[in-house]
Amino acid sequence: MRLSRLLHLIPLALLLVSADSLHALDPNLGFDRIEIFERSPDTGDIIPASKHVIEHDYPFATNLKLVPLLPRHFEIRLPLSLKNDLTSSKSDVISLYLGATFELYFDQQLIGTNGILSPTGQEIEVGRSYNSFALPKVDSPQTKHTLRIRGTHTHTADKHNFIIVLNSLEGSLSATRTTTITYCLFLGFALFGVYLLAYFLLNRKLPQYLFLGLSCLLFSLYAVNKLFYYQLNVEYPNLDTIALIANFSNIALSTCAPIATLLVFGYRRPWMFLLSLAPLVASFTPIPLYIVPRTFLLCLGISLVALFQKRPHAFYSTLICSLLVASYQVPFLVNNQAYSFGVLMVFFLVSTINLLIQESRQRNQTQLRNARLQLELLKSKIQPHFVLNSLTSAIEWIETNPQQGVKLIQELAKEFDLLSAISEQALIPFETELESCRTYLRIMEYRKKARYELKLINVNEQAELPPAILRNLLENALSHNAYGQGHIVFQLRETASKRQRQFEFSAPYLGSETTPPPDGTGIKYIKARLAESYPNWSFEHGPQDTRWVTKIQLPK
Amino acid sequence: MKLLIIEDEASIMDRLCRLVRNILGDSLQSLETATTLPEARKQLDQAQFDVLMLDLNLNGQDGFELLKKLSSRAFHTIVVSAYTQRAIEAYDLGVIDFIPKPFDEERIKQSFKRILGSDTQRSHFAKFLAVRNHGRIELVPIQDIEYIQADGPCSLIAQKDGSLRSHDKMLKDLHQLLPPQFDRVHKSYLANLESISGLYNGGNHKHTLTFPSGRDIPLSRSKAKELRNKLES
Repeated sequence: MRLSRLLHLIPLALLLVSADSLHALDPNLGFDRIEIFERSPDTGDIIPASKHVIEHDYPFATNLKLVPLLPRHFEIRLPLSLKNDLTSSKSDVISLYLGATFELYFDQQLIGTNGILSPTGQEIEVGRSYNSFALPKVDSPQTKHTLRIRGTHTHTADKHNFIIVLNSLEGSLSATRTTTITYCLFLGFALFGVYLLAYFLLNRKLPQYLFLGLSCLLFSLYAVNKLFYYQLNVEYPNLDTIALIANFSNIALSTCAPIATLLVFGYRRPWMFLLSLAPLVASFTPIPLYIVPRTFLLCLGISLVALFQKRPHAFYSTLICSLLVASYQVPFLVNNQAYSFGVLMVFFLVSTINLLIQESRQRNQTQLRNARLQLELLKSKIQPHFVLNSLTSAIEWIETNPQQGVKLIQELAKEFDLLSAISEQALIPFETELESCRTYLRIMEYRKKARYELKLINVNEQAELPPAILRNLLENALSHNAYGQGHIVFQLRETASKRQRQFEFSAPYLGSETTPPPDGTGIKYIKARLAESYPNWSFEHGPQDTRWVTKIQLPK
Repeated sequence: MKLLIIEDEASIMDRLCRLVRNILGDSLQSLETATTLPEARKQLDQAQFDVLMLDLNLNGQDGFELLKKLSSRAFHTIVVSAYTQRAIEAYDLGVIDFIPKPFDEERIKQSFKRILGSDTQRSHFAKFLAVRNHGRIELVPIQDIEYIQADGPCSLIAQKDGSLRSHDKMLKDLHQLLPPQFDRVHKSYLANLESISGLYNGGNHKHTLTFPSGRDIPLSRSKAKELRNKLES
C-alpha cells in the first residue's frame, strides 16, 4: 500500500502548484454586467425598453440559459473595463459558445460574424455553435469599450446555454490544452470501462464489474459528449441532436453508477436498486443540480452509508465520489476539471493494480491448490505398488521363515502408520522423516535380500522439511538401479548458509546416462511438495562419477 | 517345461521359483532367472523357453513396450504384477495370464493349468497379436484376421487384406489366447468364424470354409457338421 499512498499525494501537489500560476493567463478586459436587448424584426434595431441587465461577479466568463434570456432577435452588450495592468501587449480573445447567427462589434468596429445576417438582422446563413474572435489591442487604460453581439436564433425549447468567455491568447491556448488532456483522460476512463467489462465477461460471477464498466464507459461518453457539445463546431441547430445523445447517456449513467456502487458494497436488496432511479426522478423536481452531479451525489451518499457500516472499499469509494461531486460544485475544480479527473485516473490506476495483484494471488492459490491435488494424486499412484510388493514379500517370508516374516510385517505396520500420519502435513520434523526412511530401508532389505545403509552428515534432525522427500529419493535410487543383493550406502549431507539450507543426497549409480531423464512420479512429487511450502527453491540432479547426486536448496 | 522368470525383487523371485518348483515338479525341465532387462535379453537369445513369467515394473521402467515384443515370441507370457489396473491392457496384447501381487501357490497353479489346457475358463482374450515385421513389432487387430494356419513350429496369420504373416507361436498356443470366435476347424487351421463368407460341401467329404479375400481352408468332417448346425440355427 505504500506505493498507492505516494500516488495519492502527487495530484494534490499538482493542484497546489498550479493554483498559483493561473492568474498569469487572465485577459486584460473584463465585464461586470451583461445587457440583453430585444431587436425589432423589421428594422433590426434594439428596442430600448426591453433592456435586461444581469449583474455579474466573475468578470471573464458567463454561462446563462439561452431560451428564457435571449429573445429570438437579440443584442447582447458587454461594457468592458480594464482588469489587469497593461504591462504586456498580449491580446485578448473572446470565445462565444452561442447557438445563434450573429455579428460581433467591438465598439463600432465589426470584428467577426457567425453565419450571415441581413441588414435588418434576419438569418440568411445559419451560424455555427462555437466561435473565437481576437479583440483589438487596448492602447490606453482610460478608455471604455463595449462588446456588442447582434444576432438571431431559432431555439424554442429550453435546452441550451450560452457561454461567453474572455481570455488572453495564452489562456485560450492553455484551455485548449486542458481540454485535450481531459479528452485523453476520458479516453482512459473509457478504456478502464472496457477492461472492467472484459473482466466481467470472463468472470460472470461479479455483476459489479458489469455496472462499473458500463458506468465508466457511459461517463466517458457523457463527458466526451459534453466536450463535443462545446468543442464541435456544428451549425447551431445540430446542438439539439448532440444534447439528445448526451441526455440518453446521462440517464443511463444516472442508473448505472448507483447500481454499480450498490453492487460493489454488496447491497443486493431489490428496494435498494430503486434508489438508482432517484437522480432521474429528481429531474422533474425543482432541485437545481443537473442529473450527472446528482448521480454522483447519490453515489457519495451510498458510499458514506457503506463507510459507516465499515464495508470494504468504502473509504476509496467515498473519496472518489467526493472528488466527482466537487468537480461539479467547487468553483476552482469546475473550471479545471482536468485536475480532478486526473486524480480520479490515478485512483483507478491504483485500483487496477490492486485488482491485478488480487488476480495474481488468486492464480497462485489455484496453482497451489492444483499442486496439492497433484500431490494427492501422486500419492495414490505411488502407494499401491509399494503395498502389494511388500505384502508379496511378507507372504514369502512367513512361509519360509516365519520369525523374519513377522518382523517384516511389524516394520510394514510401522511404516504405514508413519506414512498416514505425516502425509497430511506440509512440513514435518526431519527426525520423523528419517524414522520413516529407516523403516522403509529395512522393509526393502527384506524384499531385496540386501543390506542398505543411510549415512547422515551434518543433518539437523530438528529442522522441518516437507514429508517423503528423502523417501522418494531412496525409492528412486532403489527402483532405477539393479543393486542386487549387495551392501549399498546412501548418503545425505546438509550444508547451511545464512539464508539457505542445501541438501545433497547421493546413491550408487549403475546406469550410463549423462543427463537426467524427464521427471518421473517421484521427482514430480518432490517438486510439488517444495512448491507447496517454499516461495523459492531449487532441485537438480545428475550423475557424478559412480554416484547419482541430487541437490536441493531451500530457504532457512 | 522350460521356464524363465524376470523379477527384480529377490524375495519375490525366490517365491516364484519355490512355488513353480512345487507345482511343476519333475515336468519342470529348466528354470532360468533374470533380475534386469539386459540379463533377460541375454537369456532370451541364448535359450528356448516355453513360458515366461514377467514383472511389469522392472527397475522402474514401464514393461508394456517389452511386453509387446515378448508376446510375439513362441513362448507364453504370464505377467506377475502389482499394477492390477493394467491387467486388461496386458490381456489385449496376448498374455496367457495376469497374476496380481500378492499371489499364492493356488493362483500360480491355475495359471499353469491354463497353459497346459486343462483349464479353459477364460474371460479375457487378446485383442491384438504381435507380429514381427522387418525388425519392428506390429500389432494385428484380431478382427482383421481371417484364419491362422500351422506352419511347422510356427503359424501363419492370414489377414483380410490378403497378407500372410508369420507368428512364432504354435497354433494351439495362439488358440489359447484368442476369443471363442476363433475355432480349431482343422488340425492345421484356426478360423475366425466372424470373418467367413461361406461353407462349402464339396464332393468326397471335402468341406471348405471360404473367406472374403478369396482364400479357402479345409474343414474337418465333424467340424463341418457342427458349424452347419450352428450357422443354420
